Amino acid sequence: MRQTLAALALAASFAPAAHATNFFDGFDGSGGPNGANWETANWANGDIFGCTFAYSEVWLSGGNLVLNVNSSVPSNVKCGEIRTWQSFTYGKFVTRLQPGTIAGADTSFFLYTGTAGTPSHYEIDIEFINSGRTLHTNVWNADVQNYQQFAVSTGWRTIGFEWRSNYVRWFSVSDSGVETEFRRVYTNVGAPMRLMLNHWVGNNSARAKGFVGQYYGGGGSAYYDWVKVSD
Amino acid sequence: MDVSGFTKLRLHLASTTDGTLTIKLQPSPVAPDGCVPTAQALVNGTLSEFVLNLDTATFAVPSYCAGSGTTLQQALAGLYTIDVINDASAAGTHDLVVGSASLVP
Repeated sequence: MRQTLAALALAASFAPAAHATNFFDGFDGSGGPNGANWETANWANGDIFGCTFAYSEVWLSGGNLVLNVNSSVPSNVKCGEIRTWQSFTYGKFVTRLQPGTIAGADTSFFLYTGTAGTPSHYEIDIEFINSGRTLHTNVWNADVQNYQQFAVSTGWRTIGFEWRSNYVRWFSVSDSGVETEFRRVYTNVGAPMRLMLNHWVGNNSARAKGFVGQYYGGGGSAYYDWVKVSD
Repeated sequence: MDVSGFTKLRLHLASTTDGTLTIKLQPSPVAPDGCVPTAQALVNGTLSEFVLNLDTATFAVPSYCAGSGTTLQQALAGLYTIDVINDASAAGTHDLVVGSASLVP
């Protein structure tokens, strides 16, 4: 019994943090994002994605994280995605970003876990589609979604969501730091999730066009100044 | 007027007091219950351009209408006016600014 307790205590001390632990990344420096904080995707997701995530399309520059869509080879479009190694349960998740403006693309800031199409799928989303002119907010609870879209202007903005045991709310933050809530959903999502950022284009399937719209080709970047998570 | 051939609505909007404005596509006669295609825009004090797709993902009939009301197809076939509304749910001063509005093929 004594050994079992010790083993349990050891396991607990090495378990990944399942709560918001005042995570912050200002994306300063050069090269790639901090590998201790972030996993960089280097794979293809398949439908509805019309690009392959690649190390080459993720870098730091001018105090920002750059997630690029590279269409120099139209038959092999590349794009960028990172995700925290850490999982979170509840907290406030805020970023300052400039979404990309490619038609048929998606610039995102979201929490995710599980397998889409199964009850293991949970997600809380901020996604910019329609050439960066539509904000798509969504919460997936056991693969059931509840979304609402908002028209937005292009350019830099500070935006986030707060996730608690019985609700999710989305808010924008003014240049003077004033927070304005624009959506609240009462829902019970409790699964630990990883924080993800990506910039990708659709593959022009019916499902892709129905969500991110028609992709006509071309590339460009999305920029993230910082990401902050707090309790 | 029949605007079914247009795909986007371009508006310039701002509010110095509130963060969200509501846009309603009204038929004739105007629906006083608001059960018409409705979109929302996130605004700030700077007059900015918004380009809204004229589709059901952007313009939905409010959920309180319980499935009744004017459909998007009906609203576009007989558009009478475009309402821009500051719902002003909190006490105090509220404003809104509307610049130009245009429909895009």
